[in-house]
Amino acid sequence: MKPLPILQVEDVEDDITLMQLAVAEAQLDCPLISVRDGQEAIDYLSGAGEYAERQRYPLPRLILLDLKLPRVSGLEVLRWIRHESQVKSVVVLVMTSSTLQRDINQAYLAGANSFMTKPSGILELIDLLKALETFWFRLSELPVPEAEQKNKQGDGPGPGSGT
Amino acid sequence: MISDSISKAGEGGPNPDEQGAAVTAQQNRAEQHAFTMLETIPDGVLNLDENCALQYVNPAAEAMLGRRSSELLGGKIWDEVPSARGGELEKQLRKVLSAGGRAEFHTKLGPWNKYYQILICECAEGAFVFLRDQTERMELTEALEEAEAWRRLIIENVKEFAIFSMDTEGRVTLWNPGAEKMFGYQPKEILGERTDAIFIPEDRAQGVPAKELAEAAEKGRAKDERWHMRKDGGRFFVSGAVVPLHGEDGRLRGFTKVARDVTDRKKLEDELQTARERLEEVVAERTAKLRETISELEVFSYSVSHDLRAPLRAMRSFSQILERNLAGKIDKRSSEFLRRIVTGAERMDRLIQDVLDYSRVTRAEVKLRTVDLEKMVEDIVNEQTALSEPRAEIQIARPLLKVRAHDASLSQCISNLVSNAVKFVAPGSRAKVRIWTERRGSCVRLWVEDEGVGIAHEYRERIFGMFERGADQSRYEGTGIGLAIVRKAVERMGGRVGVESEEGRGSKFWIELQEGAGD
Repeated sequence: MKPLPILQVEDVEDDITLMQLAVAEAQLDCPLISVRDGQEAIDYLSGAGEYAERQRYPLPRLILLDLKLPRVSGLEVLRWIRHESQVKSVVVLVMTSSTLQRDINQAYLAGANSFMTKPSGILELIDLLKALETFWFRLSELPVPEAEQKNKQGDGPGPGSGT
Repeated sequence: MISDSISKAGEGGPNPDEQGAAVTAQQNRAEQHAFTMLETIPDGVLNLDENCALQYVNPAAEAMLGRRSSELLGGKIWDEVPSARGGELEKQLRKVLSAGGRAEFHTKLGPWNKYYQILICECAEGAFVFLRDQTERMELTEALEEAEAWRRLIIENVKEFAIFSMDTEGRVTLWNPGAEKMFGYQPKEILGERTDAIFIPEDRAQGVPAKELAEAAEKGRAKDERWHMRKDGGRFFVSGAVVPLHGEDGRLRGFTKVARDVTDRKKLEDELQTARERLEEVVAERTAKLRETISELEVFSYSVSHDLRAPLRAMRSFSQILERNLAGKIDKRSSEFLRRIVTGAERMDRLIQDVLDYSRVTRAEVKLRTVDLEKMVEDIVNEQTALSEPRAEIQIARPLLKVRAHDASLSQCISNLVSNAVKFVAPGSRAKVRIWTERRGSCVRLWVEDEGVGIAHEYRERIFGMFERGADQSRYEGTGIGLAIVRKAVERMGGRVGVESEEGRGSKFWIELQEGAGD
């Protein structure tokens, strides 16, 4: 069974490429799907438009969210996830280059599970992903998104819940 | 002679006549009573013969003259009573002795300068002189008269103060020239009238004149700090008070008001108040502008941190990948250039980080509290020791005193100083650092001493400046901002920073802050 993906919300093309390289290097046992702005993230998570096709765009097991995004900001996406989405309990890790205490506090207040600054090099990013995998995928139990539960109750077994 | 008859009175003489004997006995008793009275009354009594020789002196007179009766009897009154001769006493005495009758007068007698009420009465063979000491009463009267004269002098001559009195109904009973000058009413215009006219119409309508008196009667004093009106309608600001006057029986007898024209002062105060309010407005306005600027700067810092660092991250990361992928496949020079791209990006990233730290230290809200230096220094030292290669030897001289500081700012300062101490050592040698505190008055000085390369004399002040570096740029990594951050942060915490150093002999950096409470 194909494991659920990590959803990266990131507008900087370099950072998307680097994340893909790092995910491969760190040998994470899951695909990485990237969306380019906050609105796209909301569309993806709510299954709008082409994202309705959940076989191709499955709900993520974990979201890596940048704060500074075009159209809808990361903080707004986070609030939307926690209050309005069908995936209110999904693990959201904020990964941004800001170190402003205000941003950190606001992110946690809005329901972030973690706040990390982007590493300055790919080697450091690979280390970070390995640590992330250990903590979130091996040591932690993750919630099953509400939307997925509905699926289970409705038309039988949905995609598996990872490891 | 009265003294004879008095002295004989007590003996009583035999009398053949029974009736007469009874009468004599009665007389004797009366004389006995009179004698006892003379001997005990507080007034001095002297008896003189027609030649003014003293025939009798009672104990009160003895006490007044300060001499015994036995020394005085037979002597002339002029000789025995000082200052009697030539004075009022002699004049009056001669008059009574020659013309009979009586004389009553006041005079001063004797070197003791006492004031006497004197009564002279003629008697069978001379005269009686009665002396009553009135000194105390006269002194009291004189004092009262003096006080009254003073009071009048003050009330009549103090032109800067209006002083006036009122009866219990508020009608004017006294109106001094100061009041006349200040309010413009002559005494004859206002005596017997109420003082409503001197109040401004607004206050009159509110019943202020009566309220003021009622307050004074109730509380013992009422302040009069308000605008008043002159007869010509002009207004002026008064500072004064009304106090009630009570009789000896405690009943209210009236009021007195003392007031001063303080219009000039009031105007100044009002102007000052206006100026102060305007100043506050200006300050508020500027503060708002500053806040705006600061928040713009914050936005700027945010974009710097976000946008400038993103391309750097890309440069560094992709170079890292190239470096690894091409390892062994490219010549030494090319791989050296790749290395330089990586380190260049790293340096730039650190520079941006330091500038951001500096701007954070500059604008962060600094709330001081007592900081446990020992714990903070230990944490920093553990971190720095782990980072340095070869491992630095850092010695903390415990205990470290507590200081008043802002946690994050102080931590940043110490971290910068310790990392400098560890960094600036001769190549390959092991850093040796010693950290201790010392009390200096109400302050605590934290020292960070190293045995590193030291700082040349001419750099000592400059190293705390932005982008200033004391050491060889090529040999030691650094942005030249670390110490600027330290100085800025320490200054914002109300402290000082400094260094003692000699080139090649290590440096001793210090931070001085207020000592923390013992909690």
